[in-house]
Amino acid sequence: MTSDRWGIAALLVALALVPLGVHDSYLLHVMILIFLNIMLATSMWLLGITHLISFGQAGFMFIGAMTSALLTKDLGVSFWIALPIAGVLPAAIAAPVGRLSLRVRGVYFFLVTLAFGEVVRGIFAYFQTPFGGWYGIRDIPPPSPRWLFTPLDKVPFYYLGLVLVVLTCWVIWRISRSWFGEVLWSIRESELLASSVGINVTGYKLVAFIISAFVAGLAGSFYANYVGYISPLIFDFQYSVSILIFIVVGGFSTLAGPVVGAVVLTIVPELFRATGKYQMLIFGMILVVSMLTMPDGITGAIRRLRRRRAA
Amino acid sequence: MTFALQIIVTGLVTGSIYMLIALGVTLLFGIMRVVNFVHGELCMLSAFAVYYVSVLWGMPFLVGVAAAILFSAIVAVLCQKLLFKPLNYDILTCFILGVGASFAIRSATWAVVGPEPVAIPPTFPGVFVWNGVYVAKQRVFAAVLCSVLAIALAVFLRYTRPGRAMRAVEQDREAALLMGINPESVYVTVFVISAMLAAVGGAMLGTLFGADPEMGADPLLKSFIIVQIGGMGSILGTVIAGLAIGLSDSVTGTVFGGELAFIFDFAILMIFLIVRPRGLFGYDV
Repeated sequence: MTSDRWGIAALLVALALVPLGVHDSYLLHVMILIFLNIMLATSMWLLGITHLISFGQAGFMFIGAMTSALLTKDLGVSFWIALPIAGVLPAAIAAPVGRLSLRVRGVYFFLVTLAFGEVVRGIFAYFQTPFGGWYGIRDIPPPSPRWLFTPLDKVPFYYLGLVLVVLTCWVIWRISRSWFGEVLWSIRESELLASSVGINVTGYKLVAFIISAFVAGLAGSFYANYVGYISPLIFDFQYSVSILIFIVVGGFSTLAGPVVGAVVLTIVPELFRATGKYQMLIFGMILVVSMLTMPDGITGAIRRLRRRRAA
Repeated sequence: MTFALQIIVTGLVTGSIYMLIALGVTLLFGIMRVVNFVHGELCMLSAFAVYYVSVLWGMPFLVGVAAAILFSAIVAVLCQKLLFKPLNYDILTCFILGVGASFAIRSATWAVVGPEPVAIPPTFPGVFVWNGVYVAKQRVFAAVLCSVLAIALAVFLRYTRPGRAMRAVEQDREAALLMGINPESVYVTVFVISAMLAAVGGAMLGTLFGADPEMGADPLLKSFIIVQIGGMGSILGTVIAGLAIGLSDSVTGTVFGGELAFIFDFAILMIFLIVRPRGLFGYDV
């Protein structure tokens, strides 16, 4: 355990030092994308502990991004105020949506959240006036102060992303280790048993759903003010599926799974970027092959290898 | 009045196509407890099969449809043998795996046929006029074909030996096994029938709205909503919900424009989740 801690500390120091050595803005951009994807993957993972997957995650991210974009661009609000609002609003929407979606179990829940994500997209695409329709919103201002966050310099965004991702991972790790997380794990083991000892299973799932929507909203806000352009074409169902693929490929059983999955699967498509239209084909095949060959993901496979070597 | 009738007729036509596609989803779920995410891609592949055989190679339309059915059935059985069977038909992993497979298929099709939508000219050109209501003959053909197939499916399940075997497996897999029914071969039949329904539905969508690699997503999502409203595994529920969703699409599409129609479908779904989570005729979820 302590060696893990030292490893994480060393990793954090290394990550903090990266911009000193790396000046290539494309590499920094990929790192920032990795941070974003880790945030989304861990948010989906928290709910995933209870065997539920929210296919509406891109929808919540879109709501956060849209909130942040409208607040900072049209109302001139500072990014630092818009960021928490962009987390709270999706969480507030997640409460009634989750309350209804959780009336159905398993696959039905997937389908309902999937439909929800598409509806969010549909609404934003339909209304031209505040949301920009299919064209989306461009020229979203970067965070203040202006002299620090300039579009040409990725380093401040890198540190902002790093802080956000470390905070997210830490909070979600703490939650998964707290009594609340213990309850979620017990629901994973046996829903029937958990409810028979007096645990309000739906209530706990709902809270996990709301937390994951909150984190997705934060990620959306960061995305909007970093990239500066959002549209319904970005936050589609495929985006939610990509997040799911991060977790499936990385492994479900620990927090390391979604992190590893997000890192690997952000880098791999970048390597295949030249293949363009085959990117999604490769993505789909990675999902299928990794599910058939590594049912508990990369981290699970590593753990099994270690155990075999120890034995 | 004529206007209202026109909306109703249009709605019933599209509703019958969605109903047929959703029947495939509900059949798979009812008998095998599998949600096949590739179902929408089967529709898309079938529409392209019709396009290639009937339009590019100049064969008669029905030959195109037959080719589409064959192609769709082959793809479905391949998916079953290579993807779903190794996972032992576990519903959650099959769902996730189906998502991956569907993306791969969609993307591969995109690479082969290109992003441009293609049109399939109607086999039955011309329009019926009845009391001032205009219906393209192709639409009437689609609606009649879909309804006939739905009835045929119901008859097949109720009165034929393989149909009875399917219902036996649905009710109790172990008991059916003891009666000498091989569930695995029943599963193949179910996949083939479901793929045939998707193929005909996809071919009809293709002739009415054109074919493009992304066209599978919409009927799939609609099927899920229809099956959830009608009750998972219920044939009658799927038929009623399919026609109802077609009507609602037609009405909202006329009043608010096509893009908002889907949001109303979702609203109906939400109301059902509040009032009756198991759907019209479904058993307890």
